[in-house]
Amino acid sequence: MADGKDSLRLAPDEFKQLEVLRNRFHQLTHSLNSLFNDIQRSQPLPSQESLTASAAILQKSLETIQKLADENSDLFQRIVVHPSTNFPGRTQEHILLQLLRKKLEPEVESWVEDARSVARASGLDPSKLASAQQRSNDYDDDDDDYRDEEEDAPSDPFNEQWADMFQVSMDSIRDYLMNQANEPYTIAEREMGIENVRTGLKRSLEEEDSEEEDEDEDEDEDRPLAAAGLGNVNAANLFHPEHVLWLASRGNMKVPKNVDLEAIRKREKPRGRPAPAQ
Amino acid sequence: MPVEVFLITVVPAADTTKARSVLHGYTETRPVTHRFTRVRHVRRLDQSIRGIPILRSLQSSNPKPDSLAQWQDLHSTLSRQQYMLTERVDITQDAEAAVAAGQPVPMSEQTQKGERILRFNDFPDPPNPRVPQTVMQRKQIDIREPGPLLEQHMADSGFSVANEYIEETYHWWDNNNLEFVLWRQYNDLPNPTPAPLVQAPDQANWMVPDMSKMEPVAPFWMLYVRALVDANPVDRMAERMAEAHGRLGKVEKELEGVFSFMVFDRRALDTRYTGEDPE
Repeated sequence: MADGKDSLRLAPDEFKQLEVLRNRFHQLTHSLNSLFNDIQRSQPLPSQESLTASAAILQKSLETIQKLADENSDLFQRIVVHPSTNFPGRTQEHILLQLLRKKLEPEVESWVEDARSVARASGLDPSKLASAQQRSNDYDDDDDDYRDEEEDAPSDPFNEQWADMFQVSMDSIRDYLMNQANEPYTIAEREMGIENVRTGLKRSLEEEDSEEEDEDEDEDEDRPLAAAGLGNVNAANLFHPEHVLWLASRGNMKVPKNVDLEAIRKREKPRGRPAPAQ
Repeated sequence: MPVEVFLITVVPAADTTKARSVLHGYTETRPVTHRFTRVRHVRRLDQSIRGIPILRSLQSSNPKPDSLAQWQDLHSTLSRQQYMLTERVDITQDAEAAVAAGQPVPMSEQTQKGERILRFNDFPDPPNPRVPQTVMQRKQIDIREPGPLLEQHMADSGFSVANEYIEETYHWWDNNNLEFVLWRQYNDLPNPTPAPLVQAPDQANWMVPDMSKMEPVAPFWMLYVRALVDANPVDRMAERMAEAHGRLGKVEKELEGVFSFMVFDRRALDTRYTGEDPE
């Protein structure tokens, strides 16, 4: 193909941008291969930290490429790939067609369509997506233009969605702080009758404000079961893991009162010598 | 006497499939073992009977039973303190037959006469700063004998059935000789009165319920990770115990974020019996 920047009729800095883009794609390919090999080697899967780090690296690479394409969109739109006169077109026709191909390969095209379907099902506007502004399978150029030509919008096509999500999350947090956090009982507990809820407290939670110390005890009592996914344990039947262990040990469910029913106890630090009085 | 060293945690019923998938992958066990076991709790109402009265006849029998050493261990233990023991029989095949029939089926002759396990679990050791908090350990004796013979030995030793339930378990093993058991119980059996320890000749076989129609006791499973530490040779027991603690600690660390192993009051696993049956 082109054997030097002169034959491309590109300015030096324009050629440099092209080279930078090529390097960025090379890095992205390398990162993808690395993740692929990692998944293949690890049984059953790489650690969560490794996967998160790989995802972050890939995202960073994609962001860099996107930024580069945005900054040089005029250039990349203008560039057209063509074989030079000395390219052995007859003997290397297959490679030539691959290099000149503008349409996506069928398999890749179906991936893109699947991703768009997922985006549409999630409520994302296809017109905001990178390649969808073409609205057809015809591509005039090799390069993708991630900028909305009409509005000249910012490079991230999901800005609107991010803003919506931020607003919704702020509303949810506000609602929780203002309303839900002050509720001593869940909806399910109220439906079954708060008198059946075993709080471990002698006083009613509805009548007076709880002291902070008691609130901590209440959370410590409830959170372990919730943390174990047992938030819906039938409080009326008092099913705790200790009941099950007692059944296995004694054959009945009548756990004596001296058995501590806290399923998860705070892990105590080893008791050392008390600090000297000052 | 062997020592069982174990970790315990709770797995909500909704997470069972995920838990099983994780344990499949973690232990690389194929296929998983799925069992139903009838568990009967036995105790001596006559507290004046100590040890195993039939031990002498077992010792003088010819040939001596393979389980003689275990009977001797149990005799020593029960001479000092009375305990609740469990008699366990695998009813998996009969349970599958009951599900296929859509109704309870009598225990098959094969199961009736097959191997039973008499299990003694000691009161777990108290917390020890040298043992990780989540690890519990207790002495354990398993005596394996054919059903009718074991039941007769227990009856001759003064035991009778207190209650019974069915246990459903999944088992996985890993290369470190650790057993992973996902386990839950069913105690609402069709016949609320437990069958007598020794079946009378004219008595019908115990009815195995249709498990597909049974409700488990609790909306969660228990997950055990256990190692059985051999008592022999005695002089290296401490070394083997420390090694078992290390293996369990490694499992706990590797499964961190997936399973959160819990610290329980050891009194919830108290098997000591003082002669009082709850109403």
